[in-house]
Amino acid sequence: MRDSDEQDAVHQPSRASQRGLDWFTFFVANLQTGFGPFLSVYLTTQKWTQVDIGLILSIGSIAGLASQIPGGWVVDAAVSKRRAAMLAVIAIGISAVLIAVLPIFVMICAAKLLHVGGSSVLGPAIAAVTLGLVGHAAIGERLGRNARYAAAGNGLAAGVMGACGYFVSAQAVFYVTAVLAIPTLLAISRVREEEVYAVRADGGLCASDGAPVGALSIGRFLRKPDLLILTTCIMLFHVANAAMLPLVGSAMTMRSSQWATALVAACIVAPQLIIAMISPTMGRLAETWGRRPVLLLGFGVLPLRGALLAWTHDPYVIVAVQLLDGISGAVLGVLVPLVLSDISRGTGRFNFAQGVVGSATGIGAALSTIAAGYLADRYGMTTAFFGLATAAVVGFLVLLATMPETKPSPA
Amino acid sequence: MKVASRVCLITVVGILLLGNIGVAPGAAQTGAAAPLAVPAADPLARSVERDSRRLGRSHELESVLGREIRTRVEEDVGRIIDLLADRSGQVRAAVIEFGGFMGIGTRKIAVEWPALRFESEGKQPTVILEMTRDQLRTAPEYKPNEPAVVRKADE
Repeated sequence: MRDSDEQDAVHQPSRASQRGLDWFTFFVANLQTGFGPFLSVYLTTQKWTQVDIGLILSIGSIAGLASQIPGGWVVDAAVSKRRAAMLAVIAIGISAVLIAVLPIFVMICAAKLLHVGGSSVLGPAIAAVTLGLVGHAAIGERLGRNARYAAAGNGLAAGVMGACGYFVSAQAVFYVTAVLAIPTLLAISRVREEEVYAVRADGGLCASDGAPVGALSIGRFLRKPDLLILTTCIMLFHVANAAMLPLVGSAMTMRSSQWATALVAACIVAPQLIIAMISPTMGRLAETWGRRPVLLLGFGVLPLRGALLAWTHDPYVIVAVQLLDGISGAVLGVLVPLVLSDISRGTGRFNFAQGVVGSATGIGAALSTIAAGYLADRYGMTTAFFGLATAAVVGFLVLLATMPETKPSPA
Repeated sequence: MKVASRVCLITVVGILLLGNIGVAPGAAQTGAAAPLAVPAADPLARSVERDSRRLGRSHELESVLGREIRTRVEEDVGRIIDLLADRSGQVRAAVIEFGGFMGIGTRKIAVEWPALRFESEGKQPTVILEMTRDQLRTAPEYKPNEPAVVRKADE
């Protein structure tokens, strides 16, 4: 057990560790780009049938949902959060190699499961390393910085990998992904192990005196009202949000003949630029205004985006409307781990909590895809966007009515 | 097991295609007539051989699934991801995936099979879709579990 002097020393992480974490979040975002909807594009180039592709995607989403909570639990239990992150990156790297080299059913299935497992650990592990490194006092600002680098990584990777897939081959995207695992590992190795305080990384320090406390039982932790409210709100957010971009993409493909691909790319990359610009501000605002107003801003922008997308048919206006996605993206990216760090402080369940919210995100996204698909089929895209906007209004109202301020009051 | 079924499906697709580029409706009859002359030979192999001689350069059979297609004016507009056959086994339409970026916002549509031309001029055999980009983008989305609406080249 460490004494309080030692803890204070740990509060000031070295420049090397901070830079290491910057680049780590950047490269992790790079690493994840190819594994999204692009995988099914790749599998069609490998002469896969639609039935097999559908099966792989279903296996992936079910495993993804099931692995979120265990992934978070593993990170809480891990002695070294850094090593947990490294192993997750290695798993994802191996997955990319398997996908590129052996696109047969068994191997792709194994690769998919390896990727899902790795990702379920990697997400919480990044937040854990962050909290372990900087502590609760500085985490708002640091999460803003993480989100900035992640968004830069997302935006850049979408552009580079899109070009790679178009000009070289779909397979090349996965080779590039596998190679990117190397700088990712180098970046995390720059974060000094001794500066990542494992007990603090689980939210295991008592809020009042900073002494380590035993982990709260999972049953009791799950009954925390703040956690339940946040989880519900996040699920509603994703019910409204998840299908919006794919729907925008297919609207673009349908409405614009010549520039469709470039416009869809702009709809993906533009919000990332906004996130990279404003995330640190969101982190700072959350520390001065409190969490609630910033969360309300992020949730409030979503119904507006849905309604505007329902209203406009002009592709260039749509790209502009997509910039709003950058605002809610920045808010969610910074505030969700931040509020979870507030809620789980003194429970030792920070990463488990991220798994809970991760599952809610997955369930919300699945519902969103089903609902939007049904509405678009039956009543057209305008109705689908209005439907999503309605879900966003519900999310906003639930947040407004029930979510308490979680920022600890100054002692 | 899954792999085996996929290989099997590709083979079926290959055979269907063969039936179509060759003397499609008559293929079965020619095959049936052949054994009278040379009873030991495999009727299918013989009909393939005869078709190859007649069709010259286009005799090489190629897989269709995953092939890139282009229009008369644009390259790489999409990819063949499935074939639709009627009850008699005749291929009627190809399902094409196109558009979007990194797999987001792609559309799947069914186009009539005769609208695809397999050209073997030059080194790289290409598949040309005799439609404009506008015909493609306005076609109704193909849904696997619903009756397919097939876009024709002249509509």
